[in-house]
Amino acid sequence: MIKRVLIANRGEIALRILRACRQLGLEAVVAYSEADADSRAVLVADEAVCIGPADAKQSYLSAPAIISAALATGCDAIHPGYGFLSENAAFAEAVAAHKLTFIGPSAPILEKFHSKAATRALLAKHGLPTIPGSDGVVADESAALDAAKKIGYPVILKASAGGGGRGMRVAQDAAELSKNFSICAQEAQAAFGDGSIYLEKYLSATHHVEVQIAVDSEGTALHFGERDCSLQRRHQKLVEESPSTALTPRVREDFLARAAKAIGAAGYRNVGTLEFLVGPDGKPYFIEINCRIQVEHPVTEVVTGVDLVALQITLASGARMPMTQREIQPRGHAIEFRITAEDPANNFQPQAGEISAYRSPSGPWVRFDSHLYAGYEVPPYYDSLLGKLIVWGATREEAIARSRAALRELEIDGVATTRDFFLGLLESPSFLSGGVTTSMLDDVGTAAILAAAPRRSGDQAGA
Amino acid sequence: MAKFRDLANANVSGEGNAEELGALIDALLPVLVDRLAETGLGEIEVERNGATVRVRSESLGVQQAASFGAPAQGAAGQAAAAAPAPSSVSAARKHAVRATAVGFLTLSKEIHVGAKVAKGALVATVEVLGIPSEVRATHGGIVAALKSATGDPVEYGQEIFLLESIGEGSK
Repeated sequence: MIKRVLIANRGEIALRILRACRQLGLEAVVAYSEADADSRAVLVADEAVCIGPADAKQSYLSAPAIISAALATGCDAIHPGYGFLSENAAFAEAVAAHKLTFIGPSAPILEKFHSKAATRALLAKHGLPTIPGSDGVVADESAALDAAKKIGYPVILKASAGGGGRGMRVAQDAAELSKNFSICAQEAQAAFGDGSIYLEKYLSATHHVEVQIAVDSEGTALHFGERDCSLQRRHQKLVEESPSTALTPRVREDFLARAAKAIGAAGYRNVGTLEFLVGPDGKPYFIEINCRIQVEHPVTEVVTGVDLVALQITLASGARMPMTQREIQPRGHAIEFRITAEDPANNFQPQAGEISAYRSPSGPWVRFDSHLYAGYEVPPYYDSLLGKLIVWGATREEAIARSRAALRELEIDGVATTRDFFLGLLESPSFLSGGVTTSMLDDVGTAAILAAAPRRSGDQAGA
Repeated sequence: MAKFRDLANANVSGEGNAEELGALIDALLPVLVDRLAETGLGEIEVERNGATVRVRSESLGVQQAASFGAPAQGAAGQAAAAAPAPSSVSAARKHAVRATAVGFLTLSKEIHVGAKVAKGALVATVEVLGIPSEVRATHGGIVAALKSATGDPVEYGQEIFLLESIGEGSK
């Protein structure tokens, strides 16, 4: 049984975990770095412990500091939140070695699901569709042509040793593949010292859709519906919503059930997220798993009514799944906006500084998970998330209308934020039609979205 | 209140309501010390809302203050701040020795109230999962008060003990 939890994270998620602990009747100690001494989680907590200087390597990323803090404050469990050490198998192992409960999957499970390629192969074996591709590296051009014929065009050539988009080329047909194969191999050789190439089916306009799952220690696996996180900038999610506009009811039902079944059978435990790409054909392909609670978990909480952080702690304590699949009935539509201290007008430059004025949105069906307060100093050392606005409506249209009202109520002065960007987004035809794909921001452009933002009545000219 | 008590050994004396005194000292002490250094006065007394604070220089301090006072034109504040121990108030300033990590504390054997500590001396360790993190004295001085004991859990930056620095004159 868990009695006392060390919260080894910061910002809004530290506050979120603190609330879940209190709701469950657990004691909680907030671990913080010197830069976060005045953070809201520390101010609200019954107990807090300073674990190191601002530099995350010596505080939130220091396994010895965090575990030592848990022992010094008499905790019996550690909640890592997201980011930092949340998916670090060595950390989870060290936590367990000190007879503390790691709130998340155990070290062997984190290890097992660490490799993307191995996880894809494992879950494919358990019935999840993965992006069709060549079976490993293609030896030469003729092998590539054979593979592409089986996969179906368009295909993308990828460097086996590559990453980050380098060494990739799309081929629409056999002629293009013949032309690109040797160029791609040479580029790969030059960039990575390895000319090995493999092929995958190329999905042009994709939705990023993920399934929230939870598995208890006996392997009972449930899903909590999906989230559509297609609106991204440089692989950073900006908006998440549920349900996804990319799935038909029939595809959704089948895909959610398969995801839960596969992940339970593959040996995963605790809460997690399976990420899929949905191509123009409307079919989801599994790409990777996140072995932690995610930033966007409230979207699911709002449509299902399930407290996922509390569930995560409950499952980590060894309890059986406290609900059945039938009891999870997502209702209506929820949208989350990540309000960050970034300047959309200036290439999303991260900001730091004092919040001189702050007013949070409220009202029915509006949730704002934030650690802000007026006078709070946003430190320059960590990520720029200031808060998450989550709005519910019976329909997507209603959720959007309420989101506009809530965003207008939100006031954060002192640092530039993404608020106005989202107000503009809510006027964008691509977003309103539900046709948000992962390339939307590139296609439409940040400037066009910002220009669509309605001016605040109190705004100064030129402000 | 705490600040007043810390300075009580020095040549600061006060009368009146403790809270009022504390506020008065917080607000005025740095100014008074600077003023002593600049003017070469031996003693300054300030009264506000029925509370009185008196700051007295030692003769050495006065001489130093006088000698530093001359070139201080135009940069009086800076010069005064740089002046080593113009009054006994700053000569007896206390420094907190702080934990360098979060974990369990072990004080070095020789650390007790009244012990003399050299700058840079190993004064304690904080055990972090069996690995000691060294705590070294950031200043030389006399241990004035212990704030933590061996075996105590301490957080990063927590005060372990107070060191009363030995004035420049004793060097």
